[in-house]
Amino acid sequence: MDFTYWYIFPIAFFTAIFATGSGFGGSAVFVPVFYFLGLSPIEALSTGLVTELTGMSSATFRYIRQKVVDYHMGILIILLSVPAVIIGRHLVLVLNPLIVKIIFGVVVLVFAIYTLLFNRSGTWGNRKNFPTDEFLPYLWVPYFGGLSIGLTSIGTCETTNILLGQILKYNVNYAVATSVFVNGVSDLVFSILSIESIRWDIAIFSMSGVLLGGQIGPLLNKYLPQKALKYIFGIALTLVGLRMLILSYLKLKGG
Amino acid sequence: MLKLQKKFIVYSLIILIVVLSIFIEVIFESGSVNIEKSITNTINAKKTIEEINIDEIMAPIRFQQKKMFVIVIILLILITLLFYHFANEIVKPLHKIITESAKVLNGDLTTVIELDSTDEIKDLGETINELTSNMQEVVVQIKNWVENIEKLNFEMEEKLRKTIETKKLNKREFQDLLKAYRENTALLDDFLKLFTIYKMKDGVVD
Repeated sequence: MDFTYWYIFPIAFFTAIFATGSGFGGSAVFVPVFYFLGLSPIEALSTGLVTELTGMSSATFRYIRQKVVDYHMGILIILLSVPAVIIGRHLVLVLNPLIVKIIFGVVVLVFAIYTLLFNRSGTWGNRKNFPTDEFLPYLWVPYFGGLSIGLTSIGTCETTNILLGQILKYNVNYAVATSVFVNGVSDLVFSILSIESIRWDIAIFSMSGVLLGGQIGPLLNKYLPQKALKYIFGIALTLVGLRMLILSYLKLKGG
Repeated sequence: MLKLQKKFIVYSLIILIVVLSIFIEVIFESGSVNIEKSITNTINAKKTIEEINIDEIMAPIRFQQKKMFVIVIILLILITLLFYHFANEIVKPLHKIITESAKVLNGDLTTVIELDSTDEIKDLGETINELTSNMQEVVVQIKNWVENIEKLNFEMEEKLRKTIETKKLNKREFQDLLKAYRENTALLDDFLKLFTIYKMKDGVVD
């Protein structure tokens, strides 16, 4: 077994513990780390998403057991986001890696700033489901989320959360559970299609770290300053996104 | 626009998006530059034509085929999910309406159709519920009328029997009998008026 990337284990472990209540998906943290290690976009995204999938699957099963997943809306969102994930993943393969990194930087920036400034739990409603006919104006949102996750590994969970929680006024538990369920499926599809690009020598440490941290994180949640963690992660990701955006842009401009 | 129409548009658009996206992906993948590059590199790496191994050249194409297979499987799962969802949302409530209406047809007027949907299918269910409730009222009214008529008929019969027995009929008794007869007729008239709100098919009523 290759232990070159052993240090990914503690990073993944602590990220899983502290990111659990911060509202940010694991891949938003891991993908920049993998880019920093010199992985190509498709390798970074595949390894990041398979790591996220490990963390998401236990959360998804927990929500399924608690019966807080709105399958009706979840399936409609999956139907729209999965084809977009496939298209987004293909774009990663054909686009210039620097452009992929610029897109990643922009998406991270947008979601980090949005989460920091606008994501207030008080604006959420009490809905537990939503009629299909009223979903017509929002069909583009899951597709956009899927395209974003295919291109950057971030998007489905975040857009679904915003759509269900803030726009369609879902109950916070139902919105989060349905978003995690949808994101888990999107991650799974991406991982299956990119199985040959996953860097297993890194994923083995990131997955085991996330798996262990994901079990301890919820237990420590009540003792951790959630609001402060959310701001720390938000600011850190804003800086990461900004750095990646500027560096990639300069490299692209410099040829 | 009707809610059901909107629902159909949502499902049609989802099918369109799924099929179109997969179609675009298949076109992209089949014309992938990576396959071309991979085959060219394999051929260029060989010095003589004898060194070229067909399996080695075909490997990226075979890999692509496997990927296509996975994409088609995903597409099939998505389409199956969509139709299952569609059946649950449109066909299931319709089926419930049909089975519950059959109960009404067999005489169970206590049947209430309960549906989770929010569209015109729910409106249809509620209309049938109202219809059943109205039918129940009509049946109760018919029953009450018939009972009243039976009661009046019995009273008239009693008076007539007494008259026949005594072979006497004074003016007062005659007037009572006439009054009872008129009340009976009025009740029948009221009863018939009840049905004037219903339109009947030609040939059903003479």
